[in-house]
Amino acid sequence: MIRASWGCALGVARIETLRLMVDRPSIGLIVLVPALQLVLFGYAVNLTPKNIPIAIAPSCDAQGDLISRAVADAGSFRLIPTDHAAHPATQYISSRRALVAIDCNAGQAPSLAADASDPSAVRPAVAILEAALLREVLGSVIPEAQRRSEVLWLYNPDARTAWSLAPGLVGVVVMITMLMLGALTLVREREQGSWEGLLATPVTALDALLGKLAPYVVVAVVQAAIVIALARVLFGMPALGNVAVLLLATAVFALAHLTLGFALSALAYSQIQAIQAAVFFYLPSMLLSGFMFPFEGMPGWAQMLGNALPLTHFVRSARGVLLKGYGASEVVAEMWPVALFAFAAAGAAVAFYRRRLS
Amino acid sequence: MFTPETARSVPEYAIAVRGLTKRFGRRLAIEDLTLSVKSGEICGLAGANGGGKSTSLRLLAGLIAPDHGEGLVLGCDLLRSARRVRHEVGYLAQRSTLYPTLSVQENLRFRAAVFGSRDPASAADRQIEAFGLAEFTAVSVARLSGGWCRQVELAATLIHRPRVLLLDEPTAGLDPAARQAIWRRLISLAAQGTAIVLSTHDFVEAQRCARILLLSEGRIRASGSPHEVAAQFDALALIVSGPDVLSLADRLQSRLVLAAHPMGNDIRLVVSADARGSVEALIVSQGCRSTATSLTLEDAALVVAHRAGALL
Repeated sequence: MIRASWGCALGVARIETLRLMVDRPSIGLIVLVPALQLVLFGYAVNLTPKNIPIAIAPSCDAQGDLISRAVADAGSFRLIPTDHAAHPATQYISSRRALVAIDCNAGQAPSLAADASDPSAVRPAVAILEAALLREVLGSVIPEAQRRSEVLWLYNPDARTAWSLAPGLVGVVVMITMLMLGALTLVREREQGSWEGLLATPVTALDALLGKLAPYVVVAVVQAAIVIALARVLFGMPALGNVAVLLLATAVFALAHLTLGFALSALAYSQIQAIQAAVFFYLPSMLLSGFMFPFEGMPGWAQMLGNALPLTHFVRSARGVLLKGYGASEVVAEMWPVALFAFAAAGAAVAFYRRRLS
Repeated sequence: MFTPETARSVPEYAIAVRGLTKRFGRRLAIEDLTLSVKSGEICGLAGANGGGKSTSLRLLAGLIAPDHGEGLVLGCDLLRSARRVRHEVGYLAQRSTLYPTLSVQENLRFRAAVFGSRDPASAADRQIEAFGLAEFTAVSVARLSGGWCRQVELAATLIHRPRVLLLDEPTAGLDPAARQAIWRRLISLAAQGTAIVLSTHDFVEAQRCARILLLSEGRIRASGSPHEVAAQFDALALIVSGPDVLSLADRLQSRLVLAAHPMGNDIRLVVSADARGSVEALIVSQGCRSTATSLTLEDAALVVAHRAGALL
């Protein structure tokens, strides 16, 4: 049976903390990177379509007012000047002057063409335009009050991108930092030589795991607190739920990635290998977790895969706590698979600990 | 023959192992390591690189588990109580195992803490004083010279006062004064009853051990006192002098001579006993003369290496 000796684990934790403290550039990066990423994403990224260039072909002159009103009503477009030479309207798109173009044929509804090479940029705007056109067409037969259905936008009423990004960003920053720190822990010591010294002491694999990773859990919680605090100050993001519970969830989430990184580190022959293995894990996490793309839009097998990833559960928990007012019970219900993941990864890390001494 | 069973009733034996074998994949690291070391004895593992010295020490230190074999270190079973063994012995690795960015004091304090010291700071201070490291207390290990770094390493290895010391090339790369400082300390420790097993590929240094095991390609080729080991081989050394001895050595090396190296204006040839007549005749025919002498430990290692095919 593997037991931890608290004296050994504390000794390792102390030395790991000291090593971290003397590495001032790393400390700076640990604090600065989450802050810079929040500022960058918060101010630069906007998921609401805006200023999309649109062309209305001259063939639409007869319905010009109706279409112009619909485009203005949609609010996502910038009209470009048109000329009689361009026909059909798709020529505006192929000549890269517009991303969306409207063409008309007598007796038919206006037809839309859109540059689908970047669908995430155009598709939401086209959907808005379609709805606006429909409203204008119906305007002649249905009173104004009945043309627009009321939508109650919950949790993020102004659809502010920073509010939807920041909770996920907490998870992404912590995930990448912890995975990298965990993945470099043992392999770096092995390359330096200090690992053999550690193996020659009574420190067990579990002592090393606990002692080496505990300081980084604190780092993760500090990182999460920085992102949340900055998001509140810079973007007025609410924190409706129990933030202390979210920070505890951050510790569990960090532990899952640290232990996974530790296991990868124990198996890797070099730092490059360890980093490659970490990248192999965190890229799918970002793409399949619902942080960047809608989770519900993925096929069933991808959703199953996404559900096995800690980031998926953390993003839901963070959005829940900050925007929806989740408390401890909701967070526990969401985070237990992450705790399970951490436990399994810790088992692998302990099993692989002495693998590379040859 | 000494066995781990008898070690239980003979407490002066600090180490008693039998048949320890370790492979890494298909590569044999050490085969059938049988060794007993008394308290106060200095035992050397000598041999060329890749001979199995480091693996043997790691097995004895409980760092790795053997594939076969058994043994006791200070009465602790190597297979069942490896952690206990690690607690009892002091192991000095070939490479520095100190944390280079941390100070001498922090490195020593860490070792004291993980070995269960109740007051790690005081334990570190004691070692700093005992090893004359006071001026380096707050200096990071990365800034120390090789000799001082090895002294700190040894101070860390001894911080829990182990009764068995396992040292992997403790003086490699050090100048004679630094080597002497290490050896003075080892002799003092042995005099106080510490059992010491050290590895070296320096045969002059190996001669300082009371007993040595000559290892090659993962196997024990000879064991005993340095003199006994050298006497176990049916070979002898010839000191050859005369005109153009270097070209003579060059011509002889690949045929009848196991090893040859210059000694000032003369050359030293290591020759199989059965080839002695032919070699001496050839020497005389070239107008040179030779004097026979017994093998040194290094000569014996060269014989082993030649017969194992390591020397061409």
